[in-house]
Amino acid sequence: MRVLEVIEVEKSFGGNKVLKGISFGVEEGETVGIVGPNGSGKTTLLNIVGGVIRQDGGRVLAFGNDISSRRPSERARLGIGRTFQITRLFSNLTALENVMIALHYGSSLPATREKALEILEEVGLSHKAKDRASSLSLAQRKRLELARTLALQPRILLLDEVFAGLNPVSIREIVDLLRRLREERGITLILVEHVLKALFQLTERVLVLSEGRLIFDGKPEDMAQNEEVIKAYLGERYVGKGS
Amino acid sequence: MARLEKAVFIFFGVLAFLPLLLPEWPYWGRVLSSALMLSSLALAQNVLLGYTGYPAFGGIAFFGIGGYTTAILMKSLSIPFLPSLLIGGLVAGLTALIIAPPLMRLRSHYFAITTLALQLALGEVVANLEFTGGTDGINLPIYRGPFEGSFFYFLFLLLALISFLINLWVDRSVFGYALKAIREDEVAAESVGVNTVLFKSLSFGISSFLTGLAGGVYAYWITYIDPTSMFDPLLSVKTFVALLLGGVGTTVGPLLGAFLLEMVSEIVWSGLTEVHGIILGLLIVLGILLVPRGILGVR
Repeated sequence: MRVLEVIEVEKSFGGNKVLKGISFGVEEGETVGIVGPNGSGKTTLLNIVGGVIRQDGGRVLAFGNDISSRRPSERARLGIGRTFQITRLFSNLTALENVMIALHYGSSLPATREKALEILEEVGLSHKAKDRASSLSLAQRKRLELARTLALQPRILLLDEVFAGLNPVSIREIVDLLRRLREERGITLILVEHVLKALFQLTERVLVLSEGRLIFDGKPEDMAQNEEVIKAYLGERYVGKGS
Repeated sequence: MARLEKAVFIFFGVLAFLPLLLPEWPYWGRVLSSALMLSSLALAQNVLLGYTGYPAFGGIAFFGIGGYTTAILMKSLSIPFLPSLLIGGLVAGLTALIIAPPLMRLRSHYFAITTLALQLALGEVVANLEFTGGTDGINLPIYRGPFEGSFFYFLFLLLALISFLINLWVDRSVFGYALKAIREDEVAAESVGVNTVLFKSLSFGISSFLTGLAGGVYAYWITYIDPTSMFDPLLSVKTFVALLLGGVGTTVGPLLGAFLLEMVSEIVWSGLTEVHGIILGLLIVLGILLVPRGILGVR
């Protein structure tokens, strides 16, 4: 089943055309990496799927519904969860409260607290439940943001540079956590990522953006052979030199 | 429940019996009524600023709307006071609810200044309309009936209690958590399923409903209202000083701040009339220097 479909999406900021007709589809349970040089439009694309930014043209379908004009909160409740490039936690609230807010629909406060603790347990943060979000380390903050998103029981998870700034041990742990989520819950993962080594441990499909256009959609191992990708990343004169 | 919050209920209990116990009641009744009114205003503002993160510096606009609606209904349509008061509060709350979606696209200073502009502009509009009595204002009859000497005191006491209960509820309810999420990070709140426009509008509506009720009780209490007294920027300042002094985003802080400010103000006013403003200004400066997060502030 196709869970996400992006059709001819365009976006400009002022005179700057950031996305120029992007189209792709994602199947249920798939893990897709989105890479590209800085400024190629990756985060904008993720923001359009999440609903934080409205596209100028084109449509976004999720689970067969056109969600192009839905609020981010509606998309979240439909099952599209996301994390942010720079973590956006509720800093003055505790880790537990951060997760509780995402859970808050349709149950009593004690039941919500119980469920939030379970989710913190799942990401290995239950010992920090009563700590303020602002007091957590970067790795813990990233986990907490993941936990908060998981509380929505997402079917699609959008992760914006979830590995950025983490040490190899923390990266390893998050890779394992994401694998487990994919296997146990069948969550579709879409990762915007610069840490390719970590990304390639998870994904078998990569989209490459360059200057607002989708220039590659395929397996990671074919990426290094693709002329357009080489040109975008390394420049014209490296094309044809091979690996 | 926290110990301080229990203490507040005991405090309210004691206040309920004070009219029987205190000598010179007319005087103390007036002072305490002012303190209770300021408490309600600070608690109402706390729902919005403390829990939702939006400072309605011109929130007194809704005090005016509530007061004028109550007065006009009583005077022109001869509707009894209590229904008029309730409608006054509802009109204030609904007005806020309706203007919230566009207005609350602005945040922090911008929101504060815009609400202040609303308050001043409304004052001017009311001063130039026929049915509001223009700059002459509206005279209301003096209250005659049960509890004659302490009727308004009990009304303000009830209003402060209701405002406090609403703060308690917001502090620890699912609804309140949605507001706190908006206060902390609106984009993140949306991303976890909180419809931020809906929730912040509701918060503005609740806050303005309470502010409007305070305006309605005030109007009947002093029996004469005009645009200057009902849309008074000084009352906005006092509300914020009380709230900031006591502790924004705490349940007990706004009450504590309001009583402290009103008591100090009363003592200074009766003893040192001419330097009243200077001393209040000094109090604000000291508050900012010594307790920047308020006496009970934690953040």
